[in-house]
Amino acid sequence: MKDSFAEIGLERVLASLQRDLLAASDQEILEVAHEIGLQPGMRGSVALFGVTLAVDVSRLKARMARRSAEKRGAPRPRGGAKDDPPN
Amino acid sequence: MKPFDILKSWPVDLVTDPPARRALEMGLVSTADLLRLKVIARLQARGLPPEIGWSDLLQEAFTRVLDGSRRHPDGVPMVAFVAGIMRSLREQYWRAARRGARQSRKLLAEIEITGTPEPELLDPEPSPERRAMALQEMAALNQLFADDEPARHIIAGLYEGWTPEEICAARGISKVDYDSTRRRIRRALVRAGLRFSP
Repeated sequence: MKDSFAEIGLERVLASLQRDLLAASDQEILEVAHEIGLQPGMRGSVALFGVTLAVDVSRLKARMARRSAEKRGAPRPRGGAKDDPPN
Repeated sequence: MKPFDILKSWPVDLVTDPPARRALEMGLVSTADLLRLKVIARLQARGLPPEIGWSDLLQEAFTRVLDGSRRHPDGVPMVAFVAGIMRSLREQYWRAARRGARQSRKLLAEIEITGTPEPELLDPEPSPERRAMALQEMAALNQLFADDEPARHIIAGLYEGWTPEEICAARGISKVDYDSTRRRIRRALVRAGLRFSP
C-alpha cells in the first residue's frame, strides 16, 4: 500500500465497504447480531447502545475536566514513610 | 439484571431520547436500519480524531434529518441518506479543521454541510494528521482480518482503487471466491460494528 495517499486509499476502502453494508439484507444484519448473542428487538438491548441510548459526552467531559481541575488544586500529598527523616 | 439496568448503574449521564431513537419512534427507520447505521457510523468514524465518536457522528446526522436542515430526497432510502450525511460531516470536519487550525476545531454540530449527499468529498489538501490517522485506520482494518489473508488482499485492492475484476486478476482468485470473501468481510464488519462499547 502506498502511504503517500493514505487518506484517499482509506476513503476508497470505506466507501466500498459502506456500499456493501447498504446492500446487505436486514436478515443478514440481524443474523450476525444473533450470532454474537445480541437481541436487538429487546428493550434496552446493548445492540443499540450509542444509537437509541447514548452517553452524554458533553457532561462527561465537563465532569472529567472538573475532576482534573480539582486534582490540580488539591495540596500535594506528603512523601511516604521512606522519605521521612530517620528518628 | 437487564442490560438497560447495567447501563443505568454506569457513572455517566445517559441520553435516553437521542435523535436516532426519535427517528425510530417516528417510523423513519427500523431497528435493522439502526443496526446497519451503527456499523456504518463506526466505519465512518475511522480516520476521525478520537474525540469524535461514531455515536456523535450518527446522532448529529439524525439531528440534521429531524431539524430539516437536510431534506430527504424522494427515492433515496433513509439509511443511504443518513449514511451520506455522516460521510459529508466527516469530510466537512476535516475541511473546517484545516481552515480553522488545530486550536479552533469545530464541533460536529457547528459544521455546515453544503452540496448533495454524495459529492466528490475528498479534501484536496489533506493534513499530515489526517494522513497519519488514515494509515493507523488501515492498519486497524488489516488487524481485524489478521487471520484472513484473502480479505486483506481484497482490502488492499480497494485501497488502490482496483475493480473487483482487477483484484481477482492481480491476486489470482475466482469471482466466486471474491464474492464469498466480500461476504466474510461484511459479516466481520457487522460483528465488530455491533460490539458493545460507548
